[in-house]
Amino acid sequence: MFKITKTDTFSANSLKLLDKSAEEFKLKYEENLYLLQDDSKAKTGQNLHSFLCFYLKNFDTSKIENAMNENDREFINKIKNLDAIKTLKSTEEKSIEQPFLIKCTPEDAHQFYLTGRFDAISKYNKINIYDWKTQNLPKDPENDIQTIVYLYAASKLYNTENVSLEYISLTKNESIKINYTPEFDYFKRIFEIIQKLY
Amino acid sequence: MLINGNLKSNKTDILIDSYAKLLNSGINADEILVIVQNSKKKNEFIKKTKEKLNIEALTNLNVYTFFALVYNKISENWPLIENQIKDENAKISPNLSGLEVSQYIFKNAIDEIQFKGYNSKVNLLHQLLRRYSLCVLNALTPEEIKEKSKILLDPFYSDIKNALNLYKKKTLDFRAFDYLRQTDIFKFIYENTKNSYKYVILDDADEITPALFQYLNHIKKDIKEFFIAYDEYGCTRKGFLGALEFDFERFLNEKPIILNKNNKADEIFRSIKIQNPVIIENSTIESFIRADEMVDYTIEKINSLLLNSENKLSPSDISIITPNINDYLKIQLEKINAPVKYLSGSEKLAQNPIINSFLEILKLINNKNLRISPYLLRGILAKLLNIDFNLTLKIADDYEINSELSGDNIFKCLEKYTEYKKIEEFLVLTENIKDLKLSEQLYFLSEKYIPLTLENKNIIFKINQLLKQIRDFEAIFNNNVKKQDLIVQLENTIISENPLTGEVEQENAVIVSTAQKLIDNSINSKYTFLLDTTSSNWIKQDIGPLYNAWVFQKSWQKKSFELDDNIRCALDKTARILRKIYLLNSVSDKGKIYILSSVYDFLGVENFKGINHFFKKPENIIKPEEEKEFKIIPRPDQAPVLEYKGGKMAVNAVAGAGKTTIMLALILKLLENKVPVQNIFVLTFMDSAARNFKERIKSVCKNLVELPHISTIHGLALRILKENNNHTKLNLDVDFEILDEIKRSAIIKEIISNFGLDLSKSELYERGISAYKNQKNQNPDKLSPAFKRIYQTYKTTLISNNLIDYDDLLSYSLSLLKMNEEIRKYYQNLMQFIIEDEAQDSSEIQQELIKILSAKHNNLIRCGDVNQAITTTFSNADVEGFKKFIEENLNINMNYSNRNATGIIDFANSLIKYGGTVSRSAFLPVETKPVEGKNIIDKNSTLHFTFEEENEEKEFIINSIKKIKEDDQNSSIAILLRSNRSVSNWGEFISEFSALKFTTNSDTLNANPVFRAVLAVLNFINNPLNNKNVENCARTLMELGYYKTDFEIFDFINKLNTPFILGNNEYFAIFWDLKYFLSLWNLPAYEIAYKTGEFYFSKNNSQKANIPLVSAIVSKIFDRQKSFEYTIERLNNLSDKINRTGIKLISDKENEPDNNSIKILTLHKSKGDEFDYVFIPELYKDNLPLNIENIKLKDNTKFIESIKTYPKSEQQLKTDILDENFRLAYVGITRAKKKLYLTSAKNYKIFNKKQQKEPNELFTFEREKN
Repeated sequence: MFKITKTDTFSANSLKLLDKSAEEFKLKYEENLYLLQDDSKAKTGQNLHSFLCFYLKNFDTSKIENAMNENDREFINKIKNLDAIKTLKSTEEKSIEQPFLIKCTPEDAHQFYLTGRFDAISKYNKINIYDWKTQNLPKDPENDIQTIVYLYAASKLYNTENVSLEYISLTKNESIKINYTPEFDYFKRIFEIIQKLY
Repeated sequence: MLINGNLKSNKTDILIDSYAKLLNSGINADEILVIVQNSKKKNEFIKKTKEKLNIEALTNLNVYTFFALVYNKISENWPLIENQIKDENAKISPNLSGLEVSQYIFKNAIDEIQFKGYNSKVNLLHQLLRRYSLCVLNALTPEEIKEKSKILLDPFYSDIKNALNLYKKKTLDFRAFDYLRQTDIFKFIYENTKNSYKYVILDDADEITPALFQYLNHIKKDIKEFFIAYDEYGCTRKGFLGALEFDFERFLNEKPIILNKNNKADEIFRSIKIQNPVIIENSTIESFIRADEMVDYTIEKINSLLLNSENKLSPSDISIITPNINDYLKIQLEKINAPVKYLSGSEKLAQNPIINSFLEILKLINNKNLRISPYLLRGILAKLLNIDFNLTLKIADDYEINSELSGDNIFKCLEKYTEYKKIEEFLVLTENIKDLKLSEQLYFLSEKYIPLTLENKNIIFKINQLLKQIRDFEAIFNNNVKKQDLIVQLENTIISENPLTGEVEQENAVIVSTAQKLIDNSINSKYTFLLDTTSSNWIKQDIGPLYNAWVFQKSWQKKSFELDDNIRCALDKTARILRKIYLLNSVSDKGKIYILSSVYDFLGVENFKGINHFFKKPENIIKPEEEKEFKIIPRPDQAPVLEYKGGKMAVNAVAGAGKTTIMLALILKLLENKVPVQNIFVLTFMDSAARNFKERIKSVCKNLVELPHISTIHGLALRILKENNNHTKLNLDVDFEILDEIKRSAIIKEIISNFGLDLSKSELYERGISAYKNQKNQNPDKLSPAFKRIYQTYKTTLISNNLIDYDDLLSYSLSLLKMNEEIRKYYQNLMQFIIEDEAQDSSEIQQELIKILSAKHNNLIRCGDVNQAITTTFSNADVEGFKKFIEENLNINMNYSNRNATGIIDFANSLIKYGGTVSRSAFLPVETKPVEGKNIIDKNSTLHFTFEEENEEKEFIINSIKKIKEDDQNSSIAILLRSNRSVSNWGEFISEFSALKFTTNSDTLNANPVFRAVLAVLNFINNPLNNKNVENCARTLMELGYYKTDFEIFDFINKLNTPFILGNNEYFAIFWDLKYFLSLWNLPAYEIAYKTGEFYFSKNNSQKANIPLVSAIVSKIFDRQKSFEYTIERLNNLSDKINRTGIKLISDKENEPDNNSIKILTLHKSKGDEFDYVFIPELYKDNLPLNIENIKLKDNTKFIESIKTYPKSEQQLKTDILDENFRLAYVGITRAKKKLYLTSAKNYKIFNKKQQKEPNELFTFEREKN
């Protein structure tokens, strides 16, 4: 039986890096060897995520909005008017910033776990995962590792194949929606990447 | 579910089982909250839970430490808080930052308010933060804080309140919250949001804070089931870390499941709590005099345990626990033959050579014209840029010269070397990043010079730590903090978390840890070494002038706080800690606990009141044969001393009467009569005498684990100030520092120069301040306006910097005893017997102190010799006080001496008679008598010689010594002199004109071999290209015997016209060693000092103990400017002066007497010593005037006297000097056992002027008499 020595829990991001290079993965996720990147640029994205989270959880965000400059406020109002946001805002059947932990037990190999956090999920009729993007949407969304991990995880977490993932661009008026495809062997694809560690 | 189990029980596993069961039963993971003690335990908890899961998917494992829970709740619910803040500058998310930022904010807040009364600027911030932390962790309401302030009679209550309120407001302004501020806000969050948890699992519930308990209590109504595990005698984080015991039985209204109890462990807890010593089988209790001896023993034991294959030991089976993890210990422990991992201790980031280099580069990038230390420059070029060794030396040299000459900055200098690619790249990089944010500058430097490799893991963690901190600052203050200011801030960053979370896990290493960290990490060990068990740091009492961790406990009920409460609380906490340590050790039956201690710590400071007396040796281990018999048959004059039963007694003993031996016998007798060792106090005049006593008692009573308190009066005063945090009563914070004389001079000089006064008088003012302070009655009205101003400013400077001077030590402890009845009673009870040595040197204040301390038991023995009072004129000794004591109490005269040849005794006796005719107060008329059959009978043992020229005198003495060496090989010889200056002159003369081996026992730093070697090496490192420094190293180290004497090297170096170190000089051993020292660059100077000391002296038993001391001296000087070059310059200045650093180097005399060398020392220093042959040269009239007409009062003496409330007349002052000169002569004379040589010349060169001198009265008085 194969054993994973140091890390047994993977996120979409860490799998992406592992897919690219096992060496780099090991340095970063097993040895924690990396220089802290400047997060001030990522801050805008994080702030948008936070704002949306508060807004969708029905916190009173008026003070925060009033403190924004004209441009930002206008931008926020645009986002508020996105269909996805409007849908989420109006439904009770949703989760915002929903974490997940999925146990995977491959044959002849040690178990491992997938972890992550969905930006938002609407559960009305079906499970639809929303993922806010402040940068470009994925070029090959069907085969994007995030798509694979998210769809697989949601199918397990909610125990249904009636799952979709929607990438929403917050900066451009764009979105992509991918449905869970029973024929696609999500697990196999994930396990293929993990095997790079063996 | 309620579980009562200790840390060896499977309580956590039961909790994990319960957790997994809940999850597996399909309960939503979001409804279960798990709280554990720390992140290590969190990871273990999650890992084990995962293994037990048999469901495929869940939302999350909500396993948190309390502070992580708080952090998450605040992030998730931020708008709730934001909407409460009154200003309009709303932020989308808060800055949940580190302590550094909040300290910066706090510092600014304090600057804004007037904080009256409490003046310690250095400690105010620390004090306030501690207080804030206690208030938050204990979830104290404003009413409770007010109440507690009343209990503490807290005079600063409203100032503190204002400061804290302003701080809190500022954190809101900046939306910047550290973990404490977050915890403070947490209550608002949970009271205003809906609780979603239905199950709570809590491990280590005995260690939780009231802040957490309050939260649990709040959500209790929603909780279906609690799973709580606790240890009934746990709660080691009590006090300091805010933990409190809670009654969980009542909280849950259910009985606990009790898991496997450990009766022995519980017995340890209960016994120690009431100070009842316990016996631990499988323990070894050893005590040592010096800290290095204790550490050597530890290393030797560990290495032999590891070596013995039968033990099948892995290094991680061994742990060392001490509250004192410092650089000295770390360097020593490098000798363990296994990896060593440190679990605690704090580290200054800037101490790391790479971080330090980066900070230097950042300074230069942001201020091009800044001068960089050539020493650091070399380090940066060699270590970071990886430039060839010899080239770095050349560049640094070039820079040093050109920056002096043409003011070129470093970049300009480096431009000359762009042919070297690495330098060009460096210049390009620094140019490219010059306009970036500081964090980005550091990022790019690190990216370039620190490759992401495993070897660099630790340094990368440190860089990340720094990056995070800089970015916190940049984010919160919007780049409003200047880059230069920020760098200064960063230079002082201390990481107290060690190892850093995520730092390289040293597998299989010997663990070195503080007790609390070992417990927090639940580290088991088979062999546990408890070090420094006499150190009071084992017993934590977290009390400062502005806070009190005991009273600030939520549960504090009493309406007062007394000394007894402090002792009781501290004992309770210590008992809990030691119980857990025992539990952690009890893995196997074969385990063992070593309880080790040393009388002195690494810096030669006495330890007191640790934990060692809580333990008893197992009876079967005490081997009677180890107890050496110490039998003395007292002479009739000595016998009454040993018959002492109690009360006051004076012992006046002539030189050589065997005073020390009889005192030792008396101490041993008290011990024999079962006087508890901690109730015997011996006070000596010098540290060396205290050390000597301890060593002698230790060598006789090998089994004695704890020694009586033996110290100087200043040592006792320090104990009184420190013990039980008594210093807080004087508004001193725990880390108050005793001002050394060098720093004292600097402060006084600064004051004088600020007032525009005559700087040359600073030494005089120094003495004046001391003289003024040492009076029983001070009258400020008598002072001149100038002196008064200096004195006041000096006092304020000390207070605001949490400093006290040497004089304060006595007066502060005296006023503590007078002011505070509890403290007074505590010591009066403790001090059943007080034995004072050298009582003739006792000052007025000292005598008052002793009087108070001995007031209850009234058992006071004062020993001394009035005729040897030789410190009255330059110290504050009050010989009259001792004379009075002799008159008023039982007095034993010990006037037999077997030391001196009969002719010497006769001479000494006739000096006393003659002295009496010149001045009645010179001597107490005592006649020394020889002991029958003991003294050498030699009527001609005192010899007088006079010469024309001083060189003749010197040559005569050298020749006489050579002759003695031939005739009487193993004899001891000393030359006694009037001044330290003479000592060095004679030393120089003898080493130049003879091959005689000698040691100068002068107090100059240079007289210490470790110091000399270290300074020679440091000088070389400072300027390695200068061959003079190489030569000096070679000469010094040859003299010290570290290299074979080989004059060839000097010829060789002299003929060189290139730097020695750049050549291929492998032939010379010193070449390799110096190269090694150069490779240490970029270490702070004191670390190099330590390494040099270790390199040359680690096997030298008598000098080894000086290594940390010399390093501490270097460190003290380094601390002032943090510059290598400055440190070296100052060290050179100080080297030939008397050691005034406050750090007492141990001289050879106290260690192994080396009979074969000749001692050159001052008359003053010779007191207490004896030699077969004694030479006292330079005995001309005004070198030791024995006639009042020859005594001239210096202006300075008059000035000092004028400061005093009751000044002496000039005539009286002259008489005092005269008396003391007589006694000094007496002391010198009575040092000689076989022969005494008194010599003088008619012509001396003084200040380069030849002067005619007449021989002293010592040459003539007998003849006059006849």
